[in-house]
Amino acid sequence: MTNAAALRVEGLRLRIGSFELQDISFDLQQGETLVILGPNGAGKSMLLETIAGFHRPARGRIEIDGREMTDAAPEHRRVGLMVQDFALFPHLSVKDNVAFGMRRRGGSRGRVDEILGRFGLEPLAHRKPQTLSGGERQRVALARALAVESTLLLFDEPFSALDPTQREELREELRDLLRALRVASIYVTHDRLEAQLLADRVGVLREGRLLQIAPVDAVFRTPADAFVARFVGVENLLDGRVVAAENGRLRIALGAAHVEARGQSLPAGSDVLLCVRAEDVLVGAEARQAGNSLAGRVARVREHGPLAIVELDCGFPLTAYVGKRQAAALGETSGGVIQVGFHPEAAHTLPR
Amino acid sequence: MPLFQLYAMQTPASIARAASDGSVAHSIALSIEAATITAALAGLLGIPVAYLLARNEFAGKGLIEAIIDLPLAVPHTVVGIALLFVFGRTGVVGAPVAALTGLHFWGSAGGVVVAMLYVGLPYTVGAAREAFRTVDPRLERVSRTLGAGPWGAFLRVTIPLAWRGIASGLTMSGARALSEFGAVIILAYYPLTAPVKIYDLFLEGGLRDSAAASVLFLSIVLALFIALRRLTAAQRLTRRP
Repeated sequence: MTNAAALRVEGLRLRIGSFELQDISFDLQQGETLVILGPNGAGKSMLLETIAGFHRPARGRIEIDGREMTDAAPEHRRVGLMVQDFALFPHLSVKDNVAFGMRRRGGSRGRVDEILGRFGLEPLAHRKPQTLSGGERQRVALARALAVESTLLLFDEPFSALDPTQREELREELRDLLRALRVASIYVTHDRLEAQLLADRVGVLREGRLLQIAPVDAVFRTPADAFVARFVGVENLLDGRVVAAENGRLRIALGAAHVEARGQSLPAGSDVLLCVRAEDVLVGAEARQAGNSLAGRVARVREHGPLAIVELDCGFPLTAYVGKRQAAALGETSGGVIQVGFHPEAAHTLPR
Repeated sequence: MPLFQLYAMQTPASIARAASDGSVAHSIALSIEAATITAALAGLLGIPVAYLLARNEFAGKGLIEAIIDLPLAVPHTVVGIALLFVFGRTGVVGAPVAALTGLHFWGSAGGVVVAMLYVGLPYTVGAAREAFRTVDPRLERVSRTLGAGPWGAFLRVTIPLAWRGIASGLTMSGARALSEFGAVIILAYYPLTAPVKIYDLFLEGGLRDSAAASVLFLSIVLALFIALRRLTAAQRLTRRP
């Protein structure tokens, strides 16, 4: 491991058919996991394939572990590729899969065994990939990539073909493995839960442009624009207007109500979009100390997994997540007026 | 049914007589040799073409595929005549090659192989192309990231996974080559391959001699295919864990 960034991408541009990457720049630190989040067709896989060396950029520069690699062939980049179902070689045993890349790089028998051991794969060494479980395949694929001393792992929606239960299991395991291995990784997905679970930082890609790249919490709470806000699932996107700006806070009119929010200073009268995550909306007694405290009529209560979604009418629509017990109590007051609120720090303002 | 009838008509003595005829044995040997060379050339030429067709989209791909399949639809006498224009005494390839190297395709084993290859190649291309399509390109990509060059990926991942389809294509090409008559007789005629020799016997000696030679030829080819099948099946077994 060196002190250089694990990956440095500068001004990357290329176009293949209808897919296009436009001026992509970012750094990835050693040991860091970056999740590239975006809808289908955003160019996520193309970005990974370009970093892996399968497409030559029209412009820009790629540096891997401190070495210039813009035009290097894939086999010289030391980049591990993890694809859907992990693409283990079906004609080779687990051991031969892991040893596949080591032949050329002068790996010894002992080294293969050591890596099999590190990933708990010795008992499976002579099995064929078709006979392995999803978790075992994932470990073989990681072992295979790390056997050639890859300094960067690229994950191209490896779980997209799995059923939800298996997917959940495998991504938990992957998170633990990535934490333990401390290998720089880029993981592309359209699933924001995957992003929340795995990412140190998140980059949101849309139509070949990187809209925002920031620590995972920042992207989810302070999205850069309305698209990002919708894509990371901000439930409350409220049309408002700036009344006043003071002390780094904005005073915003939402219909007849006024609330305080954070955001860049904007002149009074500016139209804005207010982003508030449903889990930050407080209901009942808690709401009175929330800073922004409002009266809301309970319009609807819906179950949502272990939580319940409460739809409120505060003169503008507001959605809150509450626990099941609280939801049951609210269900009885359906149509009734209750106290709701959110902290100004939980309200993020975007220019509109 | 007709083949059974053919066998039923023969006595061990008639077959032995056919076998002892040096020219019959020679023609069968030549057929097998030429078909083997044809299969090898079909592999050399057809496998790369099949791979390109399986992996790439390009303008005119449909046309190329149609041209490759064309020999299957054209009467083989027509193929032979067309080949004469290219590989014949005055053909666009035949004449310069003869002038430069002294090798010629008319009346030579080379001509036999050219004719066989022309009708046999589509089977290898077709079967190998389908076999390559079943190999997930992601396997090749992953192998590249593991340090394999383009050739390494092809030889260590693609070929092993597509091998069964390719082998069956090569067998089909060889089989087609063994049975080829029309194109061979027009382009080369001499040296006589088994089908041409049998035709010769039919014209000279009638049904009796030609049927005996046919049965001998069929029996040898049958034994050969059974052996080939055993060989690929055995390979498949040893590959399993």
